[in-house]
Amino acid sequence: VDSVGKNLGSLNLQHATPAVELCTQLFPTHLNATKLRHFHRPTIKKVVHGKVKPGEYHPVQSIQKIAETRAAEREKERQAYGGGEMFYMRRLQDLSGLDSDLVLAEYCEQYPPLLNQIGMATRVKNYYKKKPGKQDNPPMLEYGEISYAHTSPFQADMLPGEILQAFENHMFRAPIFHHQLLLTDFLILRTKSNYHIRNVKNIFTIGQECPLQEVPGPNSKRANIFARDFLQAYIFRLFWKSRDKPPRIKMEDVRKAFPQNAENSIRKRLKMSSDFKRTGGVHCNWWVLRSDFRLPSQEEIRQLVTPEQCCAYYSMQAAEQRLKDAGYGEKVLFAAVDDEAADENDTSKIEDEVKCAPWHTTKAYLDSLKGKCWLQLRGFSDPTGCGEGFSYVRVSNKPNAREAEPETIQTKKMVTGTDADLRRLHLKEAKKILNKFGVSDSHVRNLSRWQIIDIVRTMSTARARDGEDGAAMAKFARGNRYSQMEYQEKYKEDCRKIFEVQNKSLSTNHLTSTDNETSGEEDSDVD
Amino acid sequence: MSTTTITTKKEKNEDQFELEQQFVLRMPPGEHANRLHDLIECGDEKIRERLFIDLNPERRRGRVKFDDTVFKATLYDLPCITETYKTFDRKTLYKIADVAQVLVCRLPGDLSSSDDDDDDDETGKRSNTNVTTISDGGNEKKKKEKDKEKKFQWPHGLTPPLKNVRKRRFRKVARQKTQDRDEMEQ
Repeated sequence: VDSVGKNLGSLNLQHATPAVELCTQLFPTHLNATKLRHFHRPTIKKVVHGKVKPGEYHPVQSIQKIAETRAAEREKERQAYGGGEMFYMRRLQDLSGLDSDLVLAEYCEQYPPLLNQIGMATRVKNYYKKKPGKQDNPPMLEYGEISYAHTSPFQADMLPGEILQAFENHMFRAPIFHHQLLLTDFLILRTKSNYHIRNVKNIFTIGQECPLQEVPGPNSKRANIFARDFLQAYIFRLFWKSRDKPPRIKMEDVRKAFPQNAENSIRKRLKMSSDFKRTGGVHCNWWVLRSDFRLPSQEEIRQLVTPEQCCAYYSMQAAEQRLKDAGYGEKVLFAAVDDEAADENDTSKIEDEVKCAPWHTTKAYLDSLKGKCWLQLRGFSDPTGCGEGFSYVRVSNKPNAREAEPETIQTKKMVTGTDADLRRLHLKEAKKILNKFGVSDSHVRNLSRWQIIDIVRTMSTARARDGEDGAAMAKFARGNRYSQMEYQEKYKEDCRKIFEVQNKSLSTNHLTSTDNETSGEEDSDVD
Repeated sequence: MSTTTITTKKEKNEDQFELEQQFVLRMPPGEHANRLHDLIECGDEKIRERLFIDLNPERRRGRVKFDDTVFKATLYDLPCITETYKTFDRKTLYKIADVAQVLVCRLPGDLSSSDDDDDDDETGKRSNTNVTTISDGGNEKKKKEKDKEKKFQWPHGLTPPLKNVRKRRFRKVARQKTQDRDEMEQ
């Protein structure tokens, strides 16, 4: 589990240029409640101005010609630049779906904590665990590149010879499972004036995300700093786009893009770099860049706010909207964030549903990688609600503070002190105990004192835990204070089981479920 | 996701390019689907003379005409977030769209799923599964809207393991009942 957060090998990820530049068509500056409710679930809009109006038939086009032309253009360009590897995603129109190979990806989580905006890139990695000793060749898959997993990049260890495909980017890693799109299904691409149709063969089911980035909490310091920088970057870019000398912009243009911001906060940002001209001819009512201010370069602006930070911020906003819609007031939401400063393991005051919010799950997950806490694993935050996913809710990594099973609490009483000191246990006594446990004399004869004591301790612990009635011997059992290792083993085992159940379920090709099968209550979002 | 209004003239020229909106067209299994699949596969430019769509997304209704057959179609919301990626090397994928809806075509004469005219009927059937203890008019209206919304929620994901995912796999949201809902909704 320790290695999950680490990037195994370099990722070498380059988003399409419009995404890197946070082009507003891909990275909106403001999302209203409706947009947040449809976060990454956009509905097709009725075309009013354009050809494909409802009420009449519109021809559906093949993409063949366009695809061929664009492929030829790309190849020509590649040759012109010496035939090496090219980066083709430089403009918005490069994000068209009318050419190249397309794959679909379907998330198994209803609300994955982190999602790419259009234009962002992701890598397909095929993690392979080598078999020991002999030279072996990993299986070749249609998509992705091989990455040797010495330690598992997921929540559970991989088996030698095992291969696991994953989506990987700077925000998350998630196992993916290759499927074929049904032969009845076609992809329609619609613009205001045209319908196009394509066959898409490949679709991946995406397993539960392993976040690599934290989602900021509502109104948290990180969220507020982001909002500030996002606004600042927008202003800088506006200045870059100004054709006037000196560059100048209008307050109105910023306000339209950031309607949620108070005019004051915008003015504060503008003041950093420019002066407002109340009077004075051509510049009247413009904010004019100060001559002594060096406008940050495009590269510097890119550093200021990244696409990944935008995604995290959007995710926070969408989750906040969902919680509000489910009846959770701001008081409840913000209480959660205040708690961050307090004891990180004391989250008892937070409502369970709020604990499922991405700012809690991503933080819990990342903290667990650092060894700061453990995860609940099974529980209310499991996005599947049926034990096929992990509950990213923090629990203490100190066994004593964990909700221990009743049996182990019993043993705890018998631990140290009294007459159960193993150091004072006579060899003869120890041998007697072992005899009682069914260990024969011949076996014990060749062992040293401490080896024998070790067996006494191990067996006593095991018996006490199994609830057997060796009460007399239970006094030699190790209590919770000593069983960190065992807890860790059990924890790892739990991780493995959940991970296996998920992978088995998501790789299945059979339509096993019936239409009416449900998990738990029929429909709990009925008030 | 659509965009914020673009403000400056220069920006308009630079930033605006109409990206395609995407949705899934689902044909009834069998002969028509296979024929269409093969037609697209061989890159036949004549598709435009054989396949036609008329879609009213707001009313969630459509007609699809393929050769001589007219299919009635309904636009449903898919349960899972589904993304389209584009790739040149099969290693790096670029996201180009969110696919959130599926246009399901029915064979002429197939009345098994919701038809254009039996809206109320359908709603009645489905609401049987819900608790019906609501008496006052305001809630009644809300419930009706909700039922209508639900009617267009497709239960299945596109991949086999996500069949019936809404009921079988999605975690249920624990709603807060003490808070006044109206207060929260701006």
